Amino acid sequence: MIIENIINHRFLVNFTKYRNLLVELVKRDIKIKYRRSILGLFWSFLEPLLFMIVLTVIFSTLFKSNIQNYPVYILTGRLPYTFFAQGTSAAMSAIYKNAPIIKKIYVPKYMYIIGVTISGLITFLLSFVVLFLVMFATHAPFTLYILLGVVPIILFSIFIIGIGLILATLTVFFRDIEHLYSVILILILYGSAIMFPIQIVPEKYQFLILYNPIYVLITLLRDCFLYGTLFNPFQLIFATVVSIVTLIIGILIFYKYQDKFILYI
Amino acid sequence: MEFNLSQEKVDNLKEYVIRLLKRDMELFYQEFWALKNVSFEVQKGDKVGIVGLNGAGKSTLLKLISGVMKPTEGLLETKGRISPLLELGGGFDPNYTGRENIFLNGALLGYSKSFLESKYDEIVEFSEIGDFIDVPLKNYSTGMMMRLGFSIATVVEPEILILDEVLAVGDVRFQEKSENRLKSFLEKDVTVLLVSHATKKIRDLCNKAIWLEKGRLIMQGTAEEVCDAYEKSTKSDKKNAKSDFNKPGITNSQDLQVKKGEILGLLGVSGTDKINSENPINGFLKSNNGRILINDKEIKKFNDRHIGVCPKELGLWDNLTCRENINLMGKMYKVSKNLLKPRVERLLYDLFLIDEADTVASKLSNGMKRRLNLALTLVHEPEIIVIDEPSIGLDPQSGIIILNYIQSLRDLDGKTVILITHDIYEADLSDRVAIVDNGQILMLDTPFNLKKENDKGDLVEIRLSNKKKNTEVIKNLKKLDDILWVDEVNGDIHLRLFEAKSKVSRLMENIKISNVHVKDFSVHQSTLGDVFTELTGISLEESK
Repeated sequence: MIIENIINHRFLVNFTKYRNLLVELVKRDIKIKYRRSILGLFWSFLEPLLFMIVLTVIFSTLFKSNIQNYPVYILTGRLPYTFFAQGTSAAMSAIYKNAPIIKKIYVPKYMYIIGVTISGLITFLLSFVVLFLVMFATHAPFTLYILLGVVPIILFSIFIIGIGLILATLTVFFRDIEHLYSVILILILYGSAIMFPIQIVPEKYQFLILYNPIYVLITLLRDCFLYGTLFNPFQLIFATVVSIVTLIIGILIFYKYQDKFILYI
Repeated sequence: MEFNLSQEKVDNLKEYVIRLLKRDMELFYQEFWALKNVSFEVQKGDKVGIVGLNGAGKSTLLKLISGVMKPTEGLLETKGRISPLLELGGGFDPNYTGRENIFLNGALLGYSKSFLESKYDEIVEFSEIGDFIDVPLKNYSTGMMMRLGFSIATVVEPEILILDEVLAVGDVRFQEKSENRLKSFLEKDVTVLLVSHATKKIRDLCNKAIWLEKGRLIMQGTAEEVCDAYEKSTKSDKKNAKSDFNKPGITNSQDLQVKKGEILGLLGVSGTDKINSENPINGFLKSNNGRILINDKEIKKFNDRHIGVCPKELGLWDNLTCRENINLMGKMYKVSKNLLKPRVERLLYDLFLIDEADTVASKLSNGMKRRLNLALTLVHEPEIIVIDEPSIGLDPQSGIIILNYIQSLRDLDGKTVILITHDIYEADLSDRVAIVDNGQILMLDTPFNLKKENDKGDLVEIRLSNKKKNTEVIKNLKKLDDILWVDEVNGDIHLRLFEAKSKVSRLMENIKISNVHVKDFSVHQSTLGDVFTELTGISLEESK
């Protein structure tokens, strides 16, 4: 009985019906991005690579003693940061950019948010090619812990969908949040210890970074790819709880206000 | 369904915070119910027509049913697969090829991939896109896009079909094809909701109907009943008016009844139409003891704010820009700031002045000046608008813009428009025309009835190759039964007869008897101008 209820729930019925739409939306995002530019895919590899090289040249002498493999350290931070920044930015504009369709055809609106997150995730996964190349070039050890990298990647995706739902809702009502958010993204870039070791931050401010979920998620990723160790259990629990709570808050806010979107877009 | 109609939508955080600090959020919430207390039930297989004037809430109702909007209050239940044919090709991506768009658009409509694959050939075949299917959509013509959209939307037989007017897209041949497909749905056990202005279509296609007005349900029942009542209500006023003024040549001090939401044309000769803002259009009927009544209320009793008079002479501030001109006029009418801003923009946009919004008035073309003049008249949103010769001396394009806008004032905003004119074409736009001479209403009726009742037959002009034969030909023509009148005018033969077009061959045969060739032959059907001449003895051309 209960199982039947769950199976027949509106959400699941709708999700199954529009599953195909999700696939099509993701396909479109990726296809349009790389259509007619063979270099398209190549550029998305080249950009983090160049970023890494520039920063390595500048900073590697500075932090030599602290970081064992600076190029990998940067990439393991930069790649997930890009995933986060692009995913949430795309999610926040997803609703009003699709306004013409939303006004005409009924589609579950969260599909647009999940769609952009998934296409961001695919780009993110593709960029691992760069990471592996650099790891190979710098003779970094390939350990079995790399397989555990799936865990932080899933948590990252959940976290991004949560933030994306919140931002998308806010942006429908307050369009200028977009400008504000680009500043916040820069703050996050520096607040997540992507280019430098956390040790260079004065000790009394370190907690700001230590409890930053993005930093924690990046650290989990570094455990797998850079350090080859098991996760710090406290960090793992912290990241899991934060991601899931964010997602729940996102869903609650989005569901509360989604029926009003049409009056504002 | 409730909308927030606040004039200034707060859509950024900065404004919101400022408002919050000032504590004046409520000021900017103006509620508007697009639909209220509308309850009805539709059974499977019912074909339901929805009638109502513009702004009755028909489209909102369809959007609610298709799930695009959620009702503010109340309950809406639907069972079955809904196919809303409201927007064809909504969600097409221009960078995608036709093939890819079939899958994307199909997915938006909730079709599965395997289903789309199985129906793919059928869609392509029906749309007649052919080899273009692998070309990006941005290279498609509008017709092709519509055809593809229609083919995707109708590939599956819906359980509930929602139609905003019966859609017929593409060229003539495809229109037929698309209409046939829709009709095949209508014949089957499909539930149909159809919005249409044509009650005839609703009678033909539907068994039930709903009549909405201003968001309220006026009536529901069988299609016949509802259409009858609806038609009656839209026409009843006209009949009443007709009984008052249906005798030609009537000259007395009867009141001029103007109905709300109609365009009334006053067709007259120059000199009789002195208007002034204190007593609009009264001068038109100066020797008439009658009153001008608008919805049974005397025009003099209307507040100035409810009347807008647009004179022929321009009253613009030459050194101000279009936007400043309208703004200043609005301020003089004490339109509140919050209302004024969007209204100014809307007027600029509607009257195609938006590109010239920041040009000073003195630099505008004549047509633009007239349009700006009209905008100034409308800025305080009067209920009744009196316009003196709107398109006189304008190029056809500007004239058409103004005349279209006048029609939209009636159709969209429900304004009452009184059009003072010498121009037959303008008068023809009116719902009713009053022919006025020396302050007397000679006749008042719809343009069609005026023409019909005063028909003196069509005028035929014939020029012969040899003018000397004119008298002989006229003599022969007079022998024909149908000829009402025939005479020689400036060397040509003029004659009047009914339904001249169908009798051309007989006329020609008759002329041949005199062994002469016809150099020129023309038929003029009677116009409002003829009616005017007939009634007043002055032709409109002369009066100018």
